[in-house]
Amino acid sequence: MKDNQQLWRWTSLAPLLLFFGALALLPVANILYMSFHTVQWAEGVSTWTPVGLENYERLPKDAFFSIGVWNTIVFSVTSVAIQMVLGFLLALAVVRIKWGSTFYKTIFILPILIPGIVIGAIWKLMLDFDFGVLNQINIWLGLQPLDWTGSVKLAMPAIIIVDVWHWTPFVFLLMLAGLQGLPEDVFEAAKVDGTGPFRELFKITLPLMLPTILVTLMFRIILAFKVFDEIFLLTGGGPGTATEVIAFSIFRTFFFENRVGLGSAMSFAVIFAVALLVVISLAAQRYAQSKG
Amino acid sequence: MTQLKSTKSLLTGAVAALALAASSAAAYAADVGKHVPITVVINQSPWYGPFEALAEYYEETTGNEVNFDVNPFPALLEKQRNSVRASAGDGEFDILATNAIWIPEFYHAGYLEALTDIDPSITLKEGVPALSETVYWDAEGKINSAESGKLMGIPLIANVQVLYYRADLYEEHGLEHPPQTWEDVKVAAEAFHDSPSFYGIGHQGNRGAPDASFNFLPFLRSHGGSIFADEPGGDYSVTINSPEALAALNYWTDTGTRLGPNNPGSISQGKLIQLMTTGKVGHAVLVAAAWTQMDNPDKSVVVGKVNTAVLPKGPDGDQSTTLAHFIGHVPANIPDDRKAAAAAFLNWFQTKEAQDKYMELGGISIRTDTLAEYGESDPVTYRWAKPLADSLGVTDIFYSIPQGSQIVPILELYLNKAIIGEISNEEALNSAAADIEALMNELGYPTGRLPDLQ
Amino acid sequence: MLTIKAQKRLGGFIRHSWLMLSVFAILFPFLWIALSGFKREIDIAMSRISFAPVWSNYEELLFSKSSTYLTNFLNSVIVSFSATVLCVGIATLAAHSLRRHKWPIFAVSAILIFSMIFNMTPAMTLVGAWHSLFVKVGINNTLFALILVNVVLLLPMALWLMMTFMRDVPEELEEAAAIDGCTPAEIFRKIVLPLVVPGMMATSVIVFVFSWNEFQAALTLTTKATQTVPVAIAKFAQEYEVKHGAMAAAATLSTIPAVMLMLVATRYIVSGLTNGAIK
Repeated sequence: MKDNQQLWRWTSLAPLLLFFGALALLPVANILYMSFHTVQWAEGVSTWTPVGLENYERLPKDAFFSIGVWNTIVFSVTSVAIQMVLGFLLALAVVRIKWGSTFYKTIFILPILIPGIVIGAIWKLMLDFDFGVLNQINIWLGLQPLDWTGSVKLAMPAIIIVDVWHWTPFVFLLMLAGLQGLPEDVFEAAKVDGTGPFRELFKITLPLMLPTILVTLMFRIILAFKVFDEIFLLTGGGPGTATEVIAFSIFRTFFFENRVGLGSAMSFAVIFAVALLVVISLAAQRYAQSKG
Repeated sequence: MTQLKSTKSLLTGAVAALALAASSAAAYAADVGKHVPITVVINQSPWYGPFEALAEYYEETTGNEVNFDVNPFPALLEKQRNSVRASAGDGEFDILATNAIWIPEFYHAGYLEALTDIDPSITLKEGVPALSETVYWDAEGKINSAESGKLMGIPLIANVQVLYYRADLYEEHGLEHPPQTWEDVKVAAEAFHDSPSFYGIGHQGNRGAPDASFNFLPFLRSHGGSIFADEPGGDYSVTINSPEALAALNYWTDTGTRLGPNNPGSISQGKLIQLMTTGKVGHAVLVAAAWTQMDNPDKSVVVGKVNTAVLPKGPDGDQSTTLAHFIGHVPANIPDDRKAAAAAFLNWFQTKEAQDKYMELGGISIRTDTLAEYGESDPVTYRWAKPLADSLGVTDIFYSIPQGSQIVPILELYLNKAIIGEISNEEALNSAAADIEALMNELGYPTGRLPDLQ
Repeated sequence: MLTIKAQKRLGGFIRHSWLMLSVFAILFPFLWIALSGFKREIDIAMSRISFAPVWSNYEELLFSKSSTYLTNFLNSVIVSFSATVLCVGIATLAAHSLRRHKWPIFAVSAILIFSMIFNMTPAMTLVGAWHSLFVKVGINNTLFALILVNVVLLLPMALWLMMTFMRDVPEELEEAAAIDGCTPAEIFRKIVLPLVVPGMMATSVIVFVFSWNEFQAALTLTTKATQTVPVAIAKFAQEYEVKHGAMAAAATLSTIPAVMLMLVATRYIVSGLTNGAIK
């Protein structure tokens, strides 16, 4: 009986460990190792020169990387915040309506079904200065056409608009799940007490939803920090460095410039920073749970 | 137009003769011998279709098999690196379509086998351009040289920048064309400019990989400027902040903003081509491979209205166009029989017979003689051919050092900032020079830089 | 003072107005993409609203000689379905094991934190190592290799989700079953599994959607015969010419299986989450 227990305990975890061990641990260790080296190819063979922390020391001085970090934070915080609010409000409305919820759910899910590269290409056309449909609407309304992706002021907002369009459905999906899982009896009690809708939202719904909100927030922040496909086609990080984000710096350094050591260091610096964020958000979640 | 049509019918005979010549390739092609199947790793592009069709023709006439691994452009470099970095004998691909800006890295890293080491009888045939000698590599001296180097590959497309311009507007305004100097271009652009419905000229001001720097290079070099003092000679003193470079940048930003689109900082190559095909811009410096869209009514509203020309001259009569070609290379880490098969295909590809067939299939020939013949036989359909052939005489490479791709982001950033007016032209060039000097120092090249521009 | 009935009507009206507004905001770009599939390239470039619809993009996509879209589509279906089944299965087993089999707390934390770190690593930096590994094992460029990569890429998310679903399985039921003499495998199959099926369905939908759109790994780890839909679509974004029409047609077609899966799974998601799964 005991042996059986032990056997099952290990066999149920083994596939995960096997996958992580063979396909995750090794590549991640490889990047970590690379981040302390410079790699050069000559005569068809590679030379790994250990450089200690040099790659990491360069990061604060790297013009693109430090701006990229700042832009990524601005981008992630703004766009995820908007997505959280919109996604929550949409889910709230869908949960409370009597008919049509399948219709709404189907429509709202569409944007996350489209590959990022298509979203980048088509939105680039829609945001185009000369022919874009958004500027056509502007002109029709008697406004000036806007240089969405080419002006330093508008490029980041334009990227955020696209990202909100793309990812709000993801937030909506998880929020809807959370809302539908809330216990009915609390709300019934509130109704009996004559609690108003706003009071109900802030005093009952939001506190109950906090764990869901935190999990969603965590997934979204991680994905936002990795944003790449859309920016690759929409602005390429420009104009100037207005939309330079970390994933883009990593891509350029790692592949285009072929500096795998520095590119790996960039990756790891970001991983470390985000891991810290996640730990904090998890601590907050635990705190919220202990209170709830 | 009727006149043109009659000329066309008169010359169908000539084209038919060429087709006949092409069919004799069948007899010739049989000479390549029997070979094992090969795989070409290449990117999807407007010229891929004709290239694949030509490979099918090779298969039919020789019985040798050619397979393709077709990729989106961004994946091609990494696929090739993965293949050539595998251990000896493990290489996945037999012919690499290597882009101009990757060639220095591939040569220096020793990934490739010289064609002459596979088959000593192979030479670059008469009529096939060496494209600033980039088909040759001297592994000892680390230099592209026909004299001391070996033949490494055969160009797959001799893609270079040419001037696209609206010939119809030149005629409407009674201007001579093609324009000979950048001043001529400016005069015409001023005459055509009517923002926002029509722009005189467009430049790729976008920060890309690369956009702005690639677009700016011919302006820089035709104004007598350069990135380094003497790159082939090994003097890497930075000269991007010279008065000549400033004159070039002044021309570029002035025309690009005053006579160009209202969003010069986001004009990528794709957008510039789109401005041309949608009839929004009078002039653009673009690669020859963009031509395929100009005369296609499904893709263009300016069918028959656009011409191309060799890039105009600078103030002192200098001319330059930047290479954006692909070379077919054979990797070192594949078995000998596959090397032989790959070399045989490449050697066949550069023959006159193959190239005539290639043009017939809608390709862009690498041979100057083929281009010239087609240009003469049908001056309407093939009006791009002669300017391309002529351009091949004034080519320059973007960079020759293997770490050249690290210079690109520096140039891209400051040129983009200059054209959107975030910094002055002097500041842009001074900053670029300082950053490039620092980079070269770090990479261990002998370097320095000119005093700052005021 | 409004009557309760009037209040309810007003609330419904506001909700539907807000939802319809969102439907418009979401649908407009989507329809723009879908419509582009029926336009000529020049009509797309000039954003023409009135245009003569053409089938040429779909013809090129599906029936041209060099078309590989049906193969790509089949590859995507095989990869996404296999990866989803494997990934969710492994994650469910592991989540149950980590929650209920009294692993030391540091081991559980280590696995969860590592999976988070792995999830944060840009896939494109991992591809090189995978490629050399697959060449050594001899499964380079196969669908099997791509499935493995998809599984490992999405395991962190699936694991985290299943960990939350697993919490809601009442421990007392499992204990009771153990006392009745069920083996651990039987407990998992007969007690746990039925209770987490809705949660697994919800996770599956999310994993499937991510796998369906996975691009960065597939880009370098596939060849002509094994390329998936996103890679095929990327081929339309050529260096000198972006074929927006064909791209839009391909993207529109590729949403169909995912929408169908959504419609089927919606019921499960709702009930799964009604059980208080994501909390």
